[in-house]
Amino acid sequence: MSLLQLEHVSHRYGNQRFLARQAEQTVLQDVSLTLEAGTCLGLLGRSGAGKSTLGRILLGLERPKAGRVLFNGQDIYDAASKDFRKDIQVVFQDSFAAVNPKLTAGQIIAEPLTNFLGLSPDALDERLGGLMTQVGLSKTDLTKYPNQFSGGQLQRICIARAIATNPKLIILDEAVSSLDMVNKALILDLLRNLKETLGLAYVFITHDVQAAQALSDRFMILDQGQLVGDYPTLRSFSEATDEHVQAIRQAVLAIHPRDRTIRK
Amino acid sequence: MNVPLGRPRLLDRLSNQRLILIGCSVFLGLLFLAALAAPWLAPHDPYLVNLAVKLQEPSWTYPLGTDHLGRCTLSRLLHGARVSLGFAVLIFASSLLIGLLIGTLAGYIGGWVDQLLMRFCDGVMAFPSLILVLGLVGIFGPGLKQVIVALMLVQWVYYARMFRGLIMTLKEKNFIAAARVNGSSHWKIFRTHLLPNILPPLLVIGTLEMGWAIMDISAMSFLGLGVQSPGAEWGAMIHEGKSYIRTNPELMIYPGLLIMLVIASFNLLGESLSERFGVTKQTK
Repeated sequence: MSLLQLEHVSHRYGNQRFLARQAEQTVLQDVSLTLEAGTCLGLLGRSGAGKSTLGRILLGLERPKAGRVLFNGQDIYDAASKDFRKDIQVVFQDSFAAVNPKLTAGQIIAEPLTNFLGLSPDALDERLGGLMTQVGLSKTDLTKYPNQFSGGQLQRICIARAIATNPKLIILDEAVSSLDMVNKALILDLLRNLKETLGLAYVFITHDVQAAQALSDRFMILDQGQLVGDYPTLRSFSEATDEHVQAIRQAVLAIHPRDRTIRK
Repeated sequence: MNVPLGRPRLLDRLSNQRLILIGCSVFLGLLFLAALAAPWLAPHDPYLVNLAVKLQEPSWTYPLGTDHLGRCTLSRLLHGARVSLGFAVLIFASSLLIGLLIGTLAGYIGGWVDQLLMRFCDGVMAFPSLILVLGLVGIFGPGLKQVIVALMLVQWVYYARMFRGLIMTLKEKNFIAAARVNGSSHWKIFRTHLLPNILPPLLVIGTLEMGWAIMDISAMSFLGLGVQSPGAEWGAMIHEGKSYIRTNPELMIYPGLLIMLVIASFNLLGESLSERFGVTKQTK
């Protein structure tokens, strides 16, 4: 049984207003995919392709208009308990928007721990310290507020929060896209290590081909709400030359100006 | 020649602000204390009619003189503060709570709940609030209780609108999504993530609106709809004093001055708090 299975998921936006009715817009159309435990799926697509909506659906935050989301064989939108929340976590792009500015790092990371595990204060302290070491920060940082961290450090806090409950799957929604080159490489390293040591599966949503290649085992391309490309290995993805891959590659500027092409 | 740098001016401005903040807080604090301690502070019974000493000049026995029925003005002002300030707090707090509840529900749930609640608010806001209050008091009949209920029923929609906006902006932030992913209940999300982040604007609007609440109560009493005749209340005192405006204008000036000072203090306090918290002003 696969860890995660999407069956013919479709989604539309369009508020049904009280008296007026707005035109609906299809965001996802008949998306099906499977993900095995311990693997990383790179989900690529240009902005507006429906990547983040798919992420929200995978997280159980937004019920799709059609189709099923199965986690460990169970539909997360029909499950009586919200137990799956413990196993599916998220890291967002903008770390400053992803944490409550009024809470300390310790309180931020403790939120899932207190909600799911109910640890004693001592055990909680120990777990928090352990998590900070795991993401390469120091225990003394736990009392700091988000505005005292840099973007890269705060993203580490978000990662610590995501791995706090030992989840099986983490949705990385453009998790490295707003970081500079150095931090991006460091965070990708951290994510790769965590994947191996904790046996995590990732859905890595991004428009950045290089970042996706650094982490993913399998690649899919989403375009206008539809899956248009499926590449089961890194090799098949990097050697692919079809139009969708090329469109994605052009969506990000090359690192060196020499390699940049001026697009029409 | 030395060109003055920007620094001293900045310091001046800062200390000015602090002065306003402290000054207003102290004034309002003293007034609230005086209102609380009115039965002990007041030199006379505010309702004791003694026609033998009517319309007296200030003296040692009557520090601010007496009114047309020989009642001690200072005692009436002190007891009036209890009514004006106390019920202003009551109206403000209750309409704020209703507004917070409705606004949070509308903003957080969204969809048709939001639509329904907001259309209702639109309906209430379509009328000038004073007319609406007068209309409601007309239905309920004059009296302090009726005025308070009417003001409450009209005021909460403005708070609801404001909180809905604040909650909607916050709701879109990813930390709310993260909190849900982290298994926090809606109540916990409200308590730990939404409420602390709307507290600064809440405080600012609160101080600004307190002034309005006092104004509203006094205005209603002045019109003869709120506190009724023997009752000591600032608006009612102006109402009673207005027949003696030629001979004894101080009967109107004392309560009028107090109302003005209190409202000005609340507004200045609100302004300086809003600058401190960087909250943009929201006008009614």
